[in-house]
Amino acid sequence: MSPELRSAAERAERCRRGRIVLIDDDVEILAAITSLLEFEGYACDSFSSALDYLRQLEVPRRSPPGPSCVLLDVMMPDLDGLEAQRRLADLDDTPVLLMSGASGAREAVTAFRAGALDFLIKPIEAETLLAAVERALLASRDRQHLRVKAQSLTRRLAALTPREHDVAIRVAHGKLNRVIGEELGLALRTVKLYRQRCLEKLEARNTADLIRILQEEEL
Amino acid sequence: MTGQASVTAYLFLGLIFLIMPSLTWVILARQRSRVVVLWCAGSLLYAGGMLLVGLRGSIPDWVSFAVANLVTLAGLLSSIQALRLDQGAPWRLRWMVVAGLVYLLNFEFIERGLGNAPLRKEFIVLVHLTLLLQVVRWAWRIARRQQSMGALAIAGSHLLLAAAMLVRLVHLIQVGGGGEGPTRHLVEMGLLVSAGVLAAIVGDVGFIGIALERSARQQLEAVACKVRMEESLRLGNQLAHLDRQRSLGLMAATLAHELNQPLMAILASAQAARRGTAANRLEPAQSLELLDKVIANSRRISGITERIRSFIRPGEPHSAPVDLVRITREMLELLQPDLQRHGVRVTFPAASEPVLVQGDAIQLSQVVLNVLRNALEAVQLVPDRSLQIQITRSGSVALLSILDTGPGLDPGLADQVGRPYFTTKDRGLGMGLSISIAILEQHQGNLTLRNAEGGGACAVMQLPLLAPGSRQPRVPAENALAPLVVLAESTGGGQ
Repeated sequence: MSPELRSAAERAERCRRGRIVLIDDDVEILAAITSLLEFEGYACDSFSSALDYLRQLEVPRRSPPGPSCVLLDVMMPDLDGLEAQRRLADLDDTPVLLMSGASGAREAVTAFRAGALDFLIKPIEAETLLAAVERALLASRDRQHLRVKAQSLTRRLAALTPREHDVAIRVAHGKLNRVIGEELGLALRTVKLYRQRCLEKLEARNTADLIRILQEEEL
Repeated sequence: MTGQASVTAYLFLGLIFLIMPSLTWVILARQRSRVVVLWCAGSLLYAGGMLLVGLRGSIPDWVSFAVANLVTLAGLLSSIQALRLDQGAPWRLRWMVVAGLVYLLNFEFIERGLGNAPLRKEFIVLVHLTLLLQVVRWAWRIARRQQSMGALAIAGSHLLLAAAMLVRLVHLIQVGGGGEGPTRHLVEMGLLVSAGVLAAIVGDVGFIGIALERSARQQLEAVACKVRMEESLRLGNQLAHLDRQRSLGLMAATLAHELNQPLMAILASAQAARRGTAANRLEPAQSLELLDKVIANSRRISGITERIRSFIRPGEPHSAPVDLVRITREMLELLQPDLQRHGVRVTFPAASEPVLVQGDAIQLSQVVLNVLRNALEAVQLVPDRSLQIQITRSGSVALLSILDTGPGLDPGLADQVGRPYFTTKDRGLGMGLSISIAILEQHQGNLTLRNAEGGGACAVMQLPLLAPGSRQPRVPAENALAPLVVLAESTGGGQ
């Protein structure tokens, strides 16, 4: 393997473990935390300003698959951490950890209300930092799974024809085939046929499974 | 016989009045004020008059009569003037001259015009009596006002002399033009001489007493004043020290952040090194890099603590050449985190050479910080935040001007700015600017605040420039350390 390929492979490996976006206006801190995280096998992208990171997000870029989180300093010159957190939350659901050396309860409460996963007080012990990062990555993984699941379900539901959709909803509501047929003006045989197709298209093993899937989608 | 006795009496009195003021003059060698000069001169003139009278017969009559009486009168007037001057109510010289002339004219008129020798005598004694009572009156006033035993002695002895004069006046009126009995004359002369001697001795001793009491009191007052000055200086310095602590208090959150950043870097680097080494995954180059980070950030912390420590260092201010450019830069560094956090642009053209003034570096830094902080707080109220700092020389003064883009001074409140306890800020004590003004006044400088033409406020600090090349203080040390009178002077009427 060429060095580039090897480093790309290493990066992919690190990203699979977890990618941490580190934002702090202090380059010394960026360097120190990056060392710490890289020793633990994580990928670490550091930015000395939240604006830089937001600007970089505007250009869609593929990064290797894997969980990720943002570690954000509160006290920064051009865009403070709390405001950056708010703007990030508008963009995606990446878990956000905040850190600060001199913040009070007010900042912490604001951060948690805006959905921060943790609020770390500098100087942060390595164990505390790594545990928080671990939790954030776990949350990220969960969110990614849910997203994938939701996406496939949406795709499967989209495969149903309007008639099949109507039938599926009524099945989910526990209605009998005969009632469904009367409501939709369909022959009993046709209802049975649609019902079978729904099971196939939604990849449900039986009627109970079909009802569970549809309830998850809250139809 | 009686003439002989009179002559002896007058000569004796003259000698006493000559000796006493001379003694007084010698004793009060160190306190010779105009009052002492007038008093001694008064006594000497009086003595001169007495001696001239005593020499009657040996010298021309016009000298022993007209001149002698005029000299005696001048002596009495001079004594009274001494006491009046002491009380701050001297007669005008021209009135005294006029009085002397009137006296002389009257004297000659009675003598030659009326040819009435007894009346002339009565006139002289009456004038004497009146003037002696003046001496008594003013001495009594001094005694009462200053609880002075010396003045009381003067008043008492001169009252006695006045009483003797009164006795003589009454007798002169009684006998009218007729000759007086020799015995009676002798008794009266004895009384007058005794009272005169007493007045001369006790009066002069009393006067020495007043002068010495006065000098002791002045020394006491000088000491008290010095103590007050020192106390005021001490309080002023404490106040300035407290203000510096407060300034740092206002920066506490920022400073905590400032200290925590390098601490965080140290902790993370050290722990990365520890974990890396424990897992045997650390290469020597990496561990060196991490250790370098620990060292560099430790130095960063000690730099910050040193900055704080030297700023709040208590203790006596001491006067030395101070570079305005350097202290301004240092204070900007101290405020840098705050300036950055609030997005304040600072333009401070680098000066080619130091701008030296004489004073206490810490107190002057404090003034610069207060003014900068004020500007920083002003620009926080507007979106466009910038400070324009300039240090210039103008003639013999150094000017530090700070122009901000804030809302400027409220014209209605402009004259109150700088008054102790006046503040428009929620968290302010209103002491910052008044302390700054006091410090600058102590350094022979001043602070002006005005609205700039293009909007915003402009603060200009003015200090006497230290001549280039000279390292000698142009300002005397005591002057430079005059007390901060911010509380004592300013609470009443404002500045």
